[in-house]
Amino acid sequence: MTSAMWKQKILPYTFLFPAFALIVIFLLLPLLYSFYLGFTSFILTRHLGPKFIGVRNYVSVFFEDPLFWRSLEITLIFTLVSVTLEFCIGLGVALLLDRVTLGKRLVRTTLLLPMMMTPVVVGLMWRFLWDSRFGLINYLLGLIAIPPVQWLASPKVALVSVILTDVWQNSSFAVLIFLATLQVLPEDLYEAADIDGASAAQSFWYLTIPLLKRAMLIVLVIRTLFAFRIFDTVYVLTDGGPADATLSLSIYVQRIAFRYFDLGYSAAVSWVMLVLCVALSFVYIRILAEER
Amino acid sequence: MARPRRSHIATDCFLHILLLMVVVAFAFPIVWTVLTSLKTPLQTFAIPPVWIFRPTLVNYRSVFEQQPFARYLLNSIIIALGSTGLALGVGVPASYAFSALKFRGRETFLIATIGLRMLPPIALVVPLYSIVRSLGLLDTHLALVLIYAMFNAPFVIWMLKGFFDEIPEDVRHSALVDGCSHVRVLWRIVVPLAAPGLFATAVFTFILSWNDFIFALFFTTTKATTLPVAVSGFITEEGVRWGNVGSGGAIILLPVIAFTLLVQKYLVRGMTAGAVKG
Repeated sequence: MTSAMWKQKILPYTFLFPAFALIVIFLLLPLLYSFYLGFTSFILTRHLGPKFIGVRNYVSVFFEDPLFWRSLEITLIFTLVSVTLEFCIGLGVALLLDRVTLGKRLVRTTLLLPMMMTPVVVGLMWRFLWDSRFGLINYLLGLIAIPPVQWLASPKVALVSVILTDVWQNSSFAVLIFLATLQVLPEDLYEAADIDGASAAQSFWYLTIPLLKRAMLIVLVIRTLFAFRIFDTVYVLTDGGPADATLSLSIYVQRIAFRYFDLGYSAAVSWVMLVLCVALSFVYIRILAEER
Repeated sequence: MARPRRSHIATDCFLHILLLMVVVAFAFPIVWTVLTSLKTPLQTFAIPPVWIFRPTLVNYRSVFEQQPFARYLLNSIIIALGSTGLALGVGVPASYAFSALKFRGRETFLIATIGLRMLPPIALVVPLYSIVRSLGLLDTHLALVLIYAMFNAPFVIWMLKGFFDEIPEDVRHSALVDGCSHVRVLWRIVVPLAAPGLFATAVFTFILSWNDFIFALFFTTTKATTLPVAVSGFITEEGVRWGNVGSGGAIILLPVIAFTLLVQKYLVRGMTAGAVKG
């Protein structure tokens, strides 16, 4: 092989090198390290360094830790309910926005802002709105004679408040994706359906829904992945409380690591979470691969 | 999508009212936060709430007086700009490789890159903490710059690749035939042609870094604290300082809102980075 050919061959890799060096050092190495930590006992306040204990941590996660299962359950409920609501609201609002023409640009912009906003600020904003004494929501409910609700302090209601906060912020994303697809739907199909005597409901069901299929998948998969890792909003709204009622997996991992300083165990729980996310990502990648 | 429909004035009216309600629901929390930031403490806790009042900047003054808020603001700017620069610096050549060059493992690398973006940040916090600490980088700007650049690099690669792919192959080819190297083609042809896309990508990366909370929370203590961590500190033992949350929150949101308006036309690409074409 001549040196010119050789150069040609390694050129792409030199272009990739800086990005991959960064990713390897700050992402893959930490992941490997955490994989190792998952098989050790390493409590910062007690041990000087990690001590290998085999699969002990994982046995604990699956068989001896009710809080892990509870946290997983809470995370799954949160994800399922908020993604479903965001999906429905997003689709509804996008269809509405597609029909209405008055002040379209301004309306569109307003509807798209929440998803770009700093999650911590969103959490704090809503913490004030949910406040049982000074919050606006209880005040408004009071106007229609509904007694004050302990939105964030009652274990029964707190998860609902967290879900609604997330729905407020992230329905935007579904609106964006659905609207983008609706605006490029082929008009002639609808004209043809109209000529053939299809009702509005029929053309919605047999044309719009199938044409939105890809957009739907994207909304579901991306939102599911991001809802599953929820941290910021919960941290400022409830910090996992009251009585662990809003303990998402991310909050749980954080608590094990930075409150109990149990790095080994937190690494094991992280890895369970990672595997679940990777499984979800595969669905996403399959969709991508299908398109290419 | 103007479909031929029998439009009824009544349905039209109803749809507009419905949309108005949706807009109010989406905009209200933001408006309320801004109003709160302009109230005196007494007005903040008034029940029934005060709607009309003389705005005061007392909350804005107090966030800057009671703590080094100006420094946190500067930290946020330095870190977001630095990490955006670095993410683009490593992302531009990588995107070019994925878009214009053929090599073994191209598809695998590309798919792996998007997979990395799907990992939950909390899983990285613990091991990264050890690494950052052993490098002596805890509570420094550099640590967050490096981490955000790493975390956003996959996003940059995918988003830029979309823009690079739009440049006709012939443009690159004729330059290569004329004897330009790939490096030259990238700098002289591809980057200038994709400038609007590069700008949009930079803006998104900036917002992603600006909004981050989780890494800043654990990797900073005082010196490199960013704004989201600073406002979360307004939740105190004695209660939440709502006026300051309002003013601090408004300061954080201002650039986010301004930048979102700036790149509005690229929102779909930014939010899905690679999953949706155009």
